[in-house]
Amino acid sequence: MNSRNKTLTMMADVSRPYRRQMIVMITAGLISSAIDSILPLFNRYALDHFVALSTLDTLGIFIILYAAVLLVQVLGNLVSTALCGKIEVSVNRDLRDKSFYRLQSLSLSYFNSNSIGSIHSRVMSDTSKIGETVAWRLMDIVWSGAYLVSILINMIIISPKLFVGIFVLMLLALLGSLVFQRKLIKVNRRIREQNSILTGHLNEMITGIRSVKSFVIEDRMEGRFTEETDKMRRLSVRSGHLSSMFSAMISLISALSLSIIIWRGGNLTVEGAMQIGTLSVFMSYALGMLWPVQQIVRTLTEIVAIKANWERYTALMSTGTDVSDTEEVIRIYGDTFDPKRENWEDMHGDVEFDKVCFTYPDGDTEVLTDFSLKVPHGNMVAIVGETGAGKSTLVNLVCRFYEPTSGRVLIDGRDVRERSVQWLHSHIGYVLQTPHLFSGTIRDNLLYGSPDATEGQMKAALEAVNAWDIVSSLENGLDSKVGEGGQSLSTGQKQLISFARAILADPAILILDEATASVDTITEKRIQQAIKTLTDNRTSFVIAHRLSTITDADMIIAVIDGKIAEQGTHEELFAKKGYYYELYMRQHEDIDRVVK
Amino acid sequence: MNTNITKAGFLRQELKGSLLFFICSMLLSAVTSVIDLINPKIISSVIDNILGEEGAGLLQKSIIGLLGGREYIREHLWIPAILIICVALTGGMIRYAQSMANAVGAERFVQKLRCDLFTHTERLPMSWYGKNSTGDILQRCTSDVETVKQFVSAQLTTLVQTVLSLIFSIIFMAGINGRLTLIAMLFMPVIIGYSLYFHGKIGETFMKADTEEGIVSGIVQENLTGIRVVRAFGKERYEYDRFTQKNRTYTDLWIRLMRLMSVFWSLGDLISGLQVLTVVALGAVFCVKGEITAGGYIAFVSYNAMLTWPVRELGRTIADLSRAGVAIDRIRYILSAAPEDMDNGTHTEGAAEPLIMMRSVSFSYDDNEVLHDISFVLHRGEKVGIIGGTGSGKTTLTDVLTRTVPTSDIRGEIIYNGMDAKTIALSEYRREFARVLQEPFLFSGSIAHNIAISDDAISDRKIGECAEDAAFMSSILKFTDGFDTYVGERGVTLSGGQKQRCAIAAALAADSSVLILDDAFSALDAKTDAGIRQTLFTKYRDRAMIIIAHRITTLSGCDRIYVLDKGRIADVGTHEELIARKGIYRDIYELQK
Repeated sequence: MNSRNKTLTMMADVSRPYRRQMIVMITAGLISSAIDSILPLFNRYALDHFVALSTLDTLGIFIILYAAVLLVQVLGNLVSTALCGKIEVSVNRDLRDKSFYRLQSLSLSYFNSNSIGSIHSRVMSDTSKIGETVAWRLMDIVWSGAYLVSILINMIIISPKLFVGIFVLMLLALLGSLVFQRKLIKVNRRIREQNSILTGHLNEMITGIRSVKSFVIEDRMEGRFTEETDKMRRLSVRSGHLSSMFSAMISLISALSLSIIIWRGGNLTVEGAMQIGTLSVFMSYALGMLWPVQQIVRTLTEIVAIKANWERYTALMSTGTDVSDTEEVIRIYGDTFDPKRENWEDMHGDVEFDKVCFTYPDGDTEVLTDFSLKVPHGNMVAIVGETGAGKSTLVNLVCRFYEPTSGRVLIDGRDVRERSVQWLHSHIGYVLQTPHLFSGTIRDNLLYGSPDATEGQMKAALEAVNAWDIVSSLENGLDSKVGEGGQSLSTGQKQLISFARAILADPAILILDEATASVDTITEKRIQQAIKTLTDNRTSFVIAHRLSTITDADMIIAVIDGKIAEQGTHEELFAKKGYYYELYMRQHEDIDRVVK
Repeated sequence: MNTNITKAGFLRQELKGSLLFFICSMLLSAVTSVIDLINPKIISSVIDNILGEEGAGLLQKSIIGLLGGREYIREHLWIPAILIICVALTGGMIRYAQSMANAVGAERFVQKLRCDLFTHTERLPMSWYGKNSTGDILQRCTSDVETVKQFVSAQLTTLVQTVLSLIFSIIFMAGINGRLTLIAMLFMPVIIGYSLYFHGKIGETFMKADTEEGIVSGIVQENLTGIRVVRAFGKERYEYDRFTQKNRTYTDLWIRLMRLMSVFWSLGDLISGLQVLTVVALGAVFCVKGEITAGGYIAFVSYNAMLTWPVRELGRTIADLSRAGVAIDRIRYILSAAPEDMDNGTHTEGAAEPLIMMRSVSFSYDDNEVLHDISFVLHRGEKVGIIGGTGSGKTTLTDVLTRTVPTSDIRGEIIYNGMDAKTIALSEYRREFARVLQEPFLFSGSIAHNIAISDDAISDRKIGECAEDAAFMSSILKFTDGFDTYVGERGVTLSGGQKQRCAIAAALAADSSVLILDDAFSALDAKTDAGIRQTLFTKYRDRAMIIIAHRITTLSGCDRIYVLDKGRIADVGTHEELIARKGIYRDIYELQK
């Protein structure tokens, strides 16, 4: 019961801005469904008056009145459906806006622990399900509820005796609908799940076609797919069985009500207690009653079913941020959506870790213990280690994607928490292992971080990273489309453009997550040169793969299993003959061997 | 397999196994539309002939006589009541049978269509995949299939049902009064035509709304994938503004669409309402003039009411037909593409030397020759390296060798195990090779499933051994579920290096004659790279291997290295030979030193 109340509160909440329109919509709906139940009365009048008395004296008025009532009903329908549609899409829009807004301020850890697909469906499909329910399901209840009530009232007025029998049948229909709808909703949910499994298999076959062909496993794939389609067929036939039974039951109930009316009502007519016209109008009520009963039951089950969508949506909206600015900071620096740039200081680029301890929120081992390190302006820190060893931790702390469990991270001598996240990010350049370009042109991407850059600045930035000749050789130069996720450029080219984008933004601190993606030797050389330009005169943190890039770093940190194993300059670590030495030698022993 | 099928041919082929069900369903639905008309007839008879004073027709008279005569029934009205229930019960059973026949038919049809598409698509050549995007193929295999299913199971039956009940109703109505029927029917073309026109018009707006939705959805997708870049540049406000603006455009389009729809519905209501009014009023006039009876009048009005909805639906159904036609064409596009011939050809046996020999092989893709005059040798147990810049044709060379590209496009000679490779059955030929692809693919399932992907029968011991050899074991043991860890789209995400090691393990487990490593070490750090190579060169010394790499260190131990440049073999030799002479290889070596 409690959850149902919650659903109702939620529906009231999201529809609040449209309350006035909703009232109009409901009123219009009420009018048109009330008229629906009045229309059979016209038939009754026609029978009992014109036909029974063999006269056409009021036919003119009859037609005019009928047409007028019809027109009012049509207008009622027009207004209520148009408003209903408007409310639906407006509620959807509001919810999407709010969730997108929320996403922009959530910590990055949220994006690490939730897949893009599931976040995407929260923003796009869960919201639209809610809007649909709030508007249309409410409308359905109004329509069918009002229709049902007015039919019942009419029937009681016409003949309370007949009504009792029909009412019992109605309860029967109600009960039957409840049972069937519940079962149907369950089966249909399973059908949807099975359908997405089928799509998953198709998708896997298409995207993995190269592997399928090279392992010659076509038959095996096909076998798995056929099994799943078998499941799908069985489920769908079951759903077909349920809905066929359901509609057979409903038509049986309607025949039962007809026969009761013919039998009992016929007797009344024989006795002269009821006119033939009244009998026929009663019949049409009895038949018309079953549809709204089914509709109401279906609507109620659907309203219960959106609870899941709502829960997913509220879970997103109520996710706490691991990292947030204090009110004091926001007062001076502004928040994410309303930054007060006039109060922002420049950044010099001195970074200091001061007795930092750190444990990942979803982990249980402390990966940093009392870690202290000073990185003065312009220095380069390189972090090395094996794949998956946890090389990103320091970078995550500098960027304040996470905060230390204890201790401080200082930028230019002040705790990062004393200034806003936005201020920090605006002075940090982050170049990723897998470069991400936005769809649009190369120009759009370059301007992304620095909207005011001139043509000349863009050219200079591209030249600085050795990418100008690549861009200028493209047919449309700077205005070439990069395609979704930058598909039309090679990985190396994308990397260079994302370098240029970082240079244009001119950050005081640069984070470089070195690409492991395969690029040919010439491009790799270009990238290495570009990295030199990029890190020049900037504080930089490089997560390195190829040790040759970082031999002249001011500080090298070697990480094993998340923990810092060694730190020092190349010469120091090399002389130490420890883990770094081993890494370095492994990378070079092959060459040495052949050179010998 | 037939490569070019007509629409009718397509339906004939796909309806195998379900056609009988559909025919049953249609026949039964004809029966139900007759039965549906009986109860109104009984009611009108009761009202006219039993309760009223009208004289009955011959048929009614004999039925009434059979049941005990007018007076008797008048005293015992439960008789027609029971009759109505009997008719309804029969009708209900037949209706159940009809809709089950339809459901079973529809599901059999769609299962066959899905499986046929899957099987066919899987066997289409790689070149076909190069020309069609994943999203497009997927859409043809899902939503277009759904549209065709709807067409066959719902629209076609609805169409038949509607037409049938229209015909029967007209017959019955005409039996009551011809002129009134004619007047009632005058509205039908208007209702159908109006509905047809509007559905066509709304269809366009729907498509526009779909496009707009795609844009909004795309912004969310891009924002999520690029969230780090968004944060790093502090562009949250910009992203939010861009989103709200598109969100608004999309919503406004929908509001317009909703308004259009409500106009459509309401106008439809008005036309149908006017039709009912005409029938009711004119019917009363006819009644008063004595042209129809009171019972006839009631029956006529209820027949007429029964028609209103199906006729309005008819317009929609007809509008949907054109959509189904488009969907069928889109599916035929896939089924008409020629699949690879997997099974025709000879066996390969024995152990001839060299294992592979390519003699002046060339290959063109879309009229561009991408491989020129390639000569290549691989002996049993040899490790051969291939190096070259991006686009030099390294991967294409292995595609040609494994006949992943259409065999007919390959010019020149490929000798495999002493036989013309082109004559060996493709399914057998491809099993001779195990490839680790540049971008390894994980199938959804456990890690063990992925390592044993080439064959169900691979033992757990062997899976473990191959994982060990691919230096993947320590990573696997770090997962709580070990080898049972679920990977793939819905499972745990593996890092690039883990994927490559998993793929290497799978390729080793396949026990092929030739192992092809296409840039398979690129995401591995130097230590792991060296470790795996060590194992490959010692434990697997008998297996022939082709190793493609950018790093000189990866290739230096090979028996022979081919240097590719712009689709040609620029040089060949051992590492020592190649660095001893001037050329691309030495340039690369110098750069990497």
